[in-house]
Amino acid sequence: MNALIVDDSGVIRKIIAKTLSQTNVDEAIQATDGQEAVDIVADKGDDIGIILLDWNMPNKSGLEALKEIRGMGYKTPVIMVTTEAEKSRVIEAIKAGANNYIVKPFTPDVIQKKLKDTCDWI
Amino acid sequence: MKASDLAPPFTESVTTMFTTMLDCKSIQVSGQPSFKHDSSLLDITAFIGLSGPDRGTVTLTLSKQTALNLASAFIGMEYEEVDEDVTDCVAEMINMIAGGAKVNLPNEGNGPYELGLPTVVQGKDYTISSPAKEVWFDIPFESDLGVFRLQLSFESMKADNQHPA
Repeated sequence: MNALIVDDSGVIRKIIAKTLSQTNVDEAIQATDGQEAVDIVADKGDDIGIILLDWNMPNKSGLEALKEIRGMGYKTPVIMVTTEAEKSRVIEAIKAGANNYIVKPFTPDVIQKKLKDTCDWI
Repeated sequence: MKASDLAPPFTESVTTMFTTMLDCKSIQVSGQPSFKHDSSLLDITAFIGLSGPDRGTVTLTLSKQTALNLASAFIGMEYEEVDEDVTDCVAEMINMIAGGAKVNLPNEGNGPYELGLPTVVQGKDYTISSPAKEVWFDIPFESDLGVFRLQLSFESMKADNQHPA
C-alpha cells in the first residue's frame, strides 16, 4: 500500500518520507499542494492507503483538498500535519473528514504512533 | 498589544521547535529584546505574515553557518552550501515558529490568527522599508546551532513603542 505526502515544504516531505521508509509503506508519493493531491487521488485512488496532509499551501489548501477528496467518495485515512494548533482548527479538520491530527513541530515517533493509531495496515 | 504580551509566545515557540525538531540542548534569548529594526540583517532572512485579531510580520534572520547547522540538524544530513533544502528549511522554521506562537497570542475571542506563506531572502545587499510609524521588536537568540534573531512587527505594537518591555 502507498502513502501520499502533501506539503509545500520539500524538507518536511523528506522527513516524513524517511519515517515512512521504516514502515511497510511500499511507496511515498509526494504532492506540493492541495490541487496536486486531489489529482493524484483521482488518478491512483484506492492504491493510496494513507494521506499526510499539510494545511497551509499555495494554490489549494489542505482543508480544501480534504473536502474535495471526501466529496469524490474516497474514505482513505487522512492525517493533517500542520502548524494550525487551535482547537477550532482541529475540529474544522475533523468535521471535514480528517482521521487524525499532528501539530508541527513533530518527532518521527509521533508520526509513527499516529500512523499506527490511524491505519490498521501499518 | 504590548511587546511584553507578544514576545513570550514567540520565544516559547522557538524553544519548542529547537528542542523538538532540532534536538538542540541549549537555546535561549541572548540579550535584552529591544525596539529596533536593525538593518544589518544576516545572510538569510525569512518572513511570514499573520492576520486576524492583529496584523503583523515575523522575521527570522540568521548567518549562513547557522542556516547550514539548522538544516543539517533538521533534515539529518550535512549541508555545506545554501541550497534549496536549506532555504526551504528556514522557511519551514519561520512557519512553525509563527504557527506555534499564534495559538498563544492574545486574541480576545476574535478567532484564530491566519498564517501567510513564508518567504526567504538571501544576501545582505537589500534594505527593508517600512511605514514610518511601524516598529519592530528584536529578540536575539543563541543556541548550540548558532545565533539568530527574531523580529516582530504588529500594528498594535505602535502604542507600546515608547515603553519597551
